Amino acid sequence: MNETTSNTRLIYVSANCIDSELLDKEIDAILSVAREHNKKNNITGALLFNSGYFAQVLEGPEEAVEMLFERIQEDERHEGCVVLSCEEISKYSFSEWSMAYEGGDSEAKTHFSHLIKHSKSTGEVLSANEVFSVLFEHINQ
Amino acid sequence: MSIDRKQKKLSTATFASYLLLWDGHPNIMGVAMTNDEITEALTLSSLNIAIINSLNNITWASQSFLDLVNDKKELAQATNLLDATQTLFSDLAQEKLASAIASAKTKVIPCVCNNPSIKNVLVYLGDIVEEHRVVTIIPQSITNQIRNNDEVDPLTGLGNRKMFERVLSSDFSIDKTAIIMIDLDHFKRINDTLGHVVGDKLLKLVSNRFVKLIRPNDNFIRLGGDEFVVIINDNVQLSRLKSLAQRFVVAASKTFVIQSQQINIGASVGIAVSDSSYKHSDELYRHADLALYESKQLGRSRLSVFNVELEQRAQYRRAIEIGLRRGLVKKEFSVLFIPQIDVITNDLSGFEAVLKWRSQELGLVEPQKFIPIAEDIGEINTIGQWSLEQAIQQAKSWPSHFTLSFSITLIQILEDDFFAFLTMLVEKHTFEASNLEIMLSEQTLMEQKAHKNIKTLAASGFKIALDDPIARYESLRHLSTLPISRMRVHQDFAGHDDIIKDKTIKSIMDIGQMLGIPVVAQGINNKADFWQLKKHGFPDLQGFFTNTPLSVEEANALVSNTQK
Repeated sequence: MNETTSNTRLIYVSANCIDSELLDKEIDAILSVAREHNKKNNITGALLFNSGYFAQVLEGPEEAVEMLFERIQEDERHEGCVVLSCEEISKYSFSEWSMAYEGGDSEAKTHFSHLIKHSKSTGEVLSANEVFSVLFEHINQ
Repeated sequence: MSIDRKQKKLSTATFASYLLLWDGHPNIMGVAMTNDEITEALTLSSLNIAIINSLNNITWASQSFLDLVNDKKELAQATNLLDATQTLFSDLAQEKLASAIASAKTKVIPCVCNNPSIKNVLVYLGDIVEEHRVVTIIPQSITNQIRNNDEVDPLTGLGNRKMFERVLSSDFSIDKTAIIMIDLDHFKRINDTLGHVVGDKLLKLVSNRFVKLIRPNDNFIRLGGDEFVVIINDNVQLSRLKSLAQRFVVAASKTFVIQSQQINIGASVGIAVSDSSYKHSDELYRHADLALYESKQLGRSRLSVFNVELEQRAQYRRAIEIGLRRGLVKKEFSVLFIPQIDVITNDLSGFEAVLKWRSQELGLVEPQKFIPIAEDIGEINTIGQWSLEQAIQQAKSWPSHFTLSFSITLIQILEDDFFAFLTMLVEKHTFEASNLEIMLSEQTLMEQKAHKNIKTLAASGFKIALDDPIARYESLRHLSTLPISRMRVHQDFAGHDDIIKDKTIKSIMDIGQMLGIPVVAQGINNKADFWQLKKHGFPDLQGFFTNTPLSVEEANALVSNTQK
């Protein structure tokens, strides 16, 4: 119970189910709940949104990330959740952020849209590395 | 964690007495465990358990208990129980708890929580044993229907088999009860490959997902392993039961993440709804189980509702099972012989022995129907051995060049003593091994595990034959009826032996030629090799694919080179 637990990074994408007129309000709500919860549980991460899809990186203690992911999957504001990667990490990449957000008119969003488009046209699964680097570069620049 | 260290100081005897209190037996889920294993199981359990001493201070607590009362902060060493629950319970609940603690007897106290996600709980206080007692906090949302502490499954906090039996025997109502059975797909594989710790964790996560889908009044139970059941006693419409079942299927199909590993499983569900035809609740349970079996048969990750046809099929199968067990004693089996004619000499060259079963109750039953069931229930070897002996007894009086053919199933050939039995049989009846032809199905041939025994049989002189070749290759069956324009034969088709490889390729070429379908080869590195292959025995080979994949650039270069 008291051993140092290992840290995990989980990256997933999912499809948006929020109506467009409620979008801003709901995203705000998601972020505020996420930030409060994550701060308490030593979780950091980033959320990327392009109106059609979400991509999220979660980093934190293994158990906390597992439990959070269970809650996220229950959320009816998205569907078709696909885990792109899940691995043990030695250091956090978004340590400054309880939940950074890239949406609106950001460059990251445009970049993400390109990735989604490519994945759809080729039928290839979105690459975890690419999603991660889009977020990492834009948020930590 | 301080509590963690403390727990190790508890004597085995003390701990065993806690467990005696816990479920009446010094074991968990029917498995005898060592003290350490019990401690670990309790620690990992999602039950909120603590042990308090005579001063009402906590000396040990499960992680779930700590999470519940203390919001993930560590409990200070020997925290008083009432201090620990201060923020969790309402003031009134705290008072009730305080007066209950004062009594040394087992108490179950309903308490209201301040935590909005839990609301109502039952606090169970065990008897005092060696100056300690067990405290369990049971959330009511899961366990509205759990009456006693011994009805809780320690791993998931759901009801256990004991509760299942109690509910089915006392609350069953022909016009109100429905049963939903849920079984996880390929759960054993998770346990085998990732270990029991991950398996148990998965069961907990699945349970948590399921629990959120049911209403507090539904009886949700883990029967054992990966088998769950919901008993619903308030006349819920079938359409709603189906939508609930579908939600179980969806919930289980979503990805799990455990120990930084992604895990995907699924759930198969069976539903049975009672009506006036039911006399006993066991019948309803069995029907839900049949529906579950149907879901698995149909490819898993789905739901099925019990219907009469499932029952009829099951009854027929059951009748076959019972019939098979008695058939030999009742002399219902006989061996028939199908003549084999040599087309060149036009003479009789032997017989195939086939098994016939005329059941007193079921009439004539086709081997395709009863053989697979005989395999399932383990009767195949007895019946198979009996019929082989009958056949050999007959055949030994026939001309010495006659062949006796006999079909042997995969299960029989995998049997350790099959070879010994066969050798004993031919010796006993002084029958030439080379006169016995063992007919195998393609399925048997494809089973790697059977190869050793097949080779042993062949080495001892028995003949091996393949029954109904290409039966399993649907594509080959359809070759003549579908517009196939080309076949590709793989060079590595038959291992490394050149002669065997050549023969295999040749036979495919023959099929191609007969059906008018050109054949190309795969896995040839250059034109020279191809021409060699074509010259040496395969003049009809139409072309080849090389072994080496090219990049776009290389491919383009090759295209332009050829066009020059």
